[in-house]
Amino acid sequence: MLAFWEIATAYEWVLPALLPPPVEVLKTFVGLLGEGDIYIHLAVTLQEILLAYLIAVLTGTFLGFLLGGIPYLGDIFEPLLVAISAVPIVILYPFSVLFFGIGSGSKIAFAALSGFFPVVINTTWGVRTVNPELIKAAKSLGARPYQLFFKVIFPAALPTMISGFRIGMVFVLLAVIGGEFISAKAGIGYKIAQASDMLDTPLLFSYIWMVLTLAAGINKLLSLVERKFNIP
Amino acid sequence: MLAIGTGLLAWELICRVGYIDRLFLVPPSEILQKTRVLLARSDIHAAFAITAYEIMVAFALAAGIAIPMGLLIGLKSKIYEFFSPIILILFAIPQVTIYYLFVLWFGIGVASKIAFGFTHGFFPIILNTMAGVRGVDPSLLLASRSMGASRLQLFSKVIVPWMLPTLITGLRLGMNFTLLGVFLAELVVSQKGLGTLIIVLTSSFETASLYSLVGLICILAIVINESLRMLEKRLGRWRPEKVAV
Repeated sequence: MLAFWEIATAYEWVLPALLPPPVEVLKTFVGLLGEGDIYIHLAVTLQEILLAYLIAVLTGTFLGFLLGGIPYLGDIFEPLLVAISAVPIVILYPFSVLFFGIGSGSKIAFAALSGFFPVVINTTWGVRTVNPELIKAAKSLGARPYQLFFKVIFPAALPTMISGFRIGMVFVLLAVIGGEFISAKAGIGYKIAQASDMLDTPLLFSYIWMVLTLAAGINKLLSLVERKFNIP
Repeated sequence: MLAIGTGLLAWELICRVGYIDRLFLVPPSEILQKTRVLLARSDIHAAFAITAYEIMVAFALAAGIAIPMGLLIGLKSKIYEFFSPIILILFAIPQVTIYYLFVLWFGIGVASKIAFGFTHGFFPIILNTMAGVRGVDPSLLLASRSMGASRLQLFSKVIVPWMLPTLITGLRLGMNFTLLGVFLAELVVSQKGLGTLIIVLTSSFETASLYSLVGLICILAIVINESLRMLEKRLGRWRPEKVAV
């Protein structure tokens, strides 16, 4: 595929402004790594992703257990959450900027909100669909509430939760980059927007490459975690 | 219901007492009032028509291309093994990063929004179509084959009914993603449409109108999603329940 890309650009079947040859992208990419500037932006983006994800996972898991554990609350809020999760969340981004300013805060809030929904929905679902036989059996064998939670409910709900965590990560990444792209002062998304405005395609593709590497790396990390917990 | 009512009342009271800047939080009564004004404005109608057009064309294209492709890929194991990782990788790309290419290719008008909405809606639909076809209970296939079903019958009587709920899930998710793609595109670069209007309202600090417009879009998205979910449940009633977010 790379070879085809190179040939296609070398013969100018496509405008170089639209699709730069891969060699040039690689050169720009290596040049970029030599600059100190890019690491600052990378650090900003990473920090936003991490914080947003942390907030999303912590609040989502906590509320998910609450909603899953108390059927009355779950009946009320689960349909509500599922319904709200259908909203194209990007239209809420202006509010995030309004409340938290143009800096990192608005990206973190926005991304945390995007990542929150899959986490809370999957956690609720996971807890609610724990096989009731298991709970009954554990209870009749004299399990205490905390034992019931840690030994039965938590492990049984974990696979569903983890899949929520993964979708949440994808959403957080998307939201951070998207938020930075729309309006920001720093970060990879911001640099992408800048490169787009200057029509500097090799630079743009280098940044895109960077985002993809980041996404692939995070994905790999999450699947390692999954494997550690023996989840198919 | 009670919780929502209390929340709204608290919201109204907090705003009335006046601790919070009107720029950020507006009382619900004012938003409601603004909604009435907004609904009467003709530029809103025009923006709505454009965005709805973009969404519908993008969604129709996504469904029209993704479903046949998904069927083809899902039915043949060899093709499936080759294509499914590629599709998953492509799906993982944060597409905002290449929005600029869409603009270069399709301009800043309606076409780039349709294209962007299409690429967003395409993946959930094709993935669910593939999953639906491949998830058919093999014993059902074996049973109908041994009773002499032709390939056509196998497809129309076994595979299609089985995969229909999964397909509807895909369409629902595809619709959500198309909405996301179109609004994202409109928020970044555009001339017309509801997304543009959101930007205009934000930058002119018309907070009450912003709340009401965003609220209207949210309600619309929820209504579309819920109606597809109801369809999904109806069609899948006979099947053992499956997880779908």
